[in-house]
Amino acid sequence: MTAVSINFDRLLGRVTGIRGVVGAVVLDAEDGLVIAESILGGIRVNAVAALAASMYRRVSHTTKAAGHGPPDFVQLQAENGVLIALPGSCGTILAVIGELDLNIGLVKIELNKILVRQ
Amino acid sequence: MTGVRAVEQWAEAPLANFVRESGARLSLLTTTSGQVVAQYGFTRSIDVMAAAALGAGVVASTSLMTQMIGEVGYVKINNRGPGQGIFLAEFDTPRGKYVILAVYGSGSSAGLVQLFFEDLVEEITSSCPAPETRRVILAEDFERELNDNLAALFGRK
Repeated sequence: MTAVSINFDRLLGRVTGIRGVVGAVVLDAEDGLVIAESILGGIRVNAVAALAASMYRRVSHTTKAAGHGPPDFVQLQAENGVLIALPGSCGTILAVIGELDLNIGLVKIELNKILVRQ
Repeated sequence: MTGVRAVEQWAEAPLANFVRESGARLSLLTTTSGQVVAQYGFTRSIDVMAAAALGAGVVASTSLMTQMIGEVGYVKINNRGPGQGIFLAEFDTPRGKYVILAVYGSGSSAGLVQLFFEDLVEEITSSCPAPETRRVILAEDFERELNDNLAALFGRK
């Protein structure tokens, strides 16, 4: 196991430890390919990664067009849950899958703490 | 109007879905020998033939190299350039192996193309007809029939 993979494992372990989070993926922002993941079975990880990267890219085009620069937190509220995407370092995106009753405010605080510690 | 041109009609809808979902600019479905089954986005036949031949050649040579190092499985190659990327992969169906080549731009990604490639394989596998039974090229009585026909044609009978 390399130092990089240990860091990702630690990051994903902390993120999935937040109450209401069911999985997290670190992905390449440009390729939409999975770099590291911690997701329960039954979810197509490669689909989440590819579509989350695409979603983030499109939202980013929109916010840039509006003169606001790239987004630092994208939240997608779906019928049965929540998908969050936020930019990481070195061209990565962290996608977080949460339950419907996920406390977004708490998640933001926890993610900020985790990302600052990394 | 899907924009897909298909030699085999069963390939049209799956390739159209793949192109629409993945955002590929160009796409080509061929046999492993480079015979074109369906294409999207190419405007000149010479480009289609060249891409088909090159794609089949790359898959064949990569497949041999993977065998040399003891790897098994299907060839799947992704090359990302500064502006466009190329995805090339082989896959199996009831009619044998096929090769897909897709060129994508900044509106898509390797992840999206690979994701919808998986759906394409499923759709083609379910939509392609069963393989044709091997036809007898020369029937047992071919020579006798040929002689009879020639004789009839030239009034020797």
